[in-house]
Amino acid sequence: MSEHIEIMPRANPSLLSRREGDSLVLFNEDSGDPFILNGTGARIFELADGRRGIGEIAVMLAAEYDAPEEVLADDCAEFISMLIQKGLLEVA
Amino acid sequence: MGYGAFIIHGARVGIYPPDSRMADEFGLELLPIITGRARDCEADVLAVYDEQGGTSSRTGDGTLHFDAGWEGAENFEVADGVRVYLDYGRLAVKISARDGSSFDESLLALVNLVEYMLRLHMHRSRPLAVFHAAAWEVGGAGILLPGASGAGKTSLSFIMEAAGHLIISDEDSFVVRGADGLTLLPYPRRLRVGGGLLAAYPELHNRAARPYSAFGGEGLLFEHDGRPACVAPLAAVVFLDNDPAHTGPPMLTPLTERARVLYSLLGSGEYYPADNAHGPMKAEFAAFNRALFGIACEAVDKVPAWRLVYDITRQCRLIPEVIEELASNLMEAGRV
Repeated sequence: MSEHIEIMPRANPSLLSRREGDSLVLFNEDSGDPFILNGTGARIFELADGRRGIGEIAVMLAAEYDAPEEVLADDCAEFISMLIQKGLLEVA
Repeated sequence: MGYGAFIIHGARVGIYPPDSRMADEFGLELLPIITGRARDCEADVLAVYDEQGGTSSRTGDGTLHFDAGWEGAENFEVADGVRVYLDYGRLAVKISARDGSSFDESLLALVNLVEYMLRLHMHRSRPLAVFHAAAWEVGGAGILLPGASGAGKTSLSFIMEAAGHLIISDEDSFVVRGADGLTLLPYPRRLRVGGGLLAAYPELHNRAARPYSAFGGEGLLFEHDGRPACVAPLAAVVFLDNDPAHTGPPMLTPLTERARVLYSLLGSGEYYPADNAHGPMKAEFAAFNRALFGIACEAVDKVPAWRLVYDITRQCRLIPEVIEELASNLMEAGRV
């Protein structure tokens, strides 16, 4: 029986961030790369603080956006995976 | 034999060998010869062109040893027989070229490396951000104009100069925090124009100082010197967008989405590769990049932004009027 270990993503510590309305502008002080996240994407990034699993992030999003959790869970996991690939989030 | 020096933004930039073409490129007067050991010299930034391929240096009276102190410098071959050395500790650069390599290209590369090191030197005294942008002073307003290669930063700078405005930079613009907000610092490098723009704008011949045939091209060299004593308060950001498909007059559109403006501004920022650096330089590069972020945020907070769309081949003559009207509006709004 395999054991499921939930990852708890957190922001790359090299990122500087700035909230502007619904958007979040990120800047990697090591690579010089800028990024921009909008709406839900910005919120997911902020909720990924290293103490929450993807499931918990989806629950919080569902509450904030009044959307079905089961629908958000897959999208949230996919989005976080993309943020990890781009180096914006990391897993301890 | 010794080396020459320029004063750029208060920094002493030592150059060996002292070469008039380097002086031409910067548009500055080469200061009197200084003697002393290069590694102990008084220069804040040191640039060396070593035409002996790094095997020896022509030290003349023997008091200069430009080959000393490069052992720990980062170095890489940029072309066949041409190696670049970067010594971040003492802010020194060297291009070592075998006989037969292009002197002009090496000299141009050396100019760019001097700028690269000069930014770090300036940052050590105060936070500095450098943007890949033109900068003009129009009616007392400093306007920063980020633009990708081909957007027309240099071409439009010539046209603005011909219209009587001060060109602060045509390529890299230095922004610092001043007493009254963000300030544009002029970068002393001459404007050069080649065949394409000369064909579209023949009047430029009358304003040129003299022809040039170095640095991989032929054209005209202008007397513009980015007067080091002159600074301009940053009053607006205008993103240059040269679109060959654009029809109608040049279109100036206000940008109200601050996140997008900040993102674009950061995208035009010049940064140092902290992720590839080691030791103290990694921290210093990251600090430089943080300053870029902080100043870009401050610019978004304090000055308005626009996008200027045009087809430069057909509309370059119309740009000064558009910018002059913008500056006039800034003045009326009390932003200058």
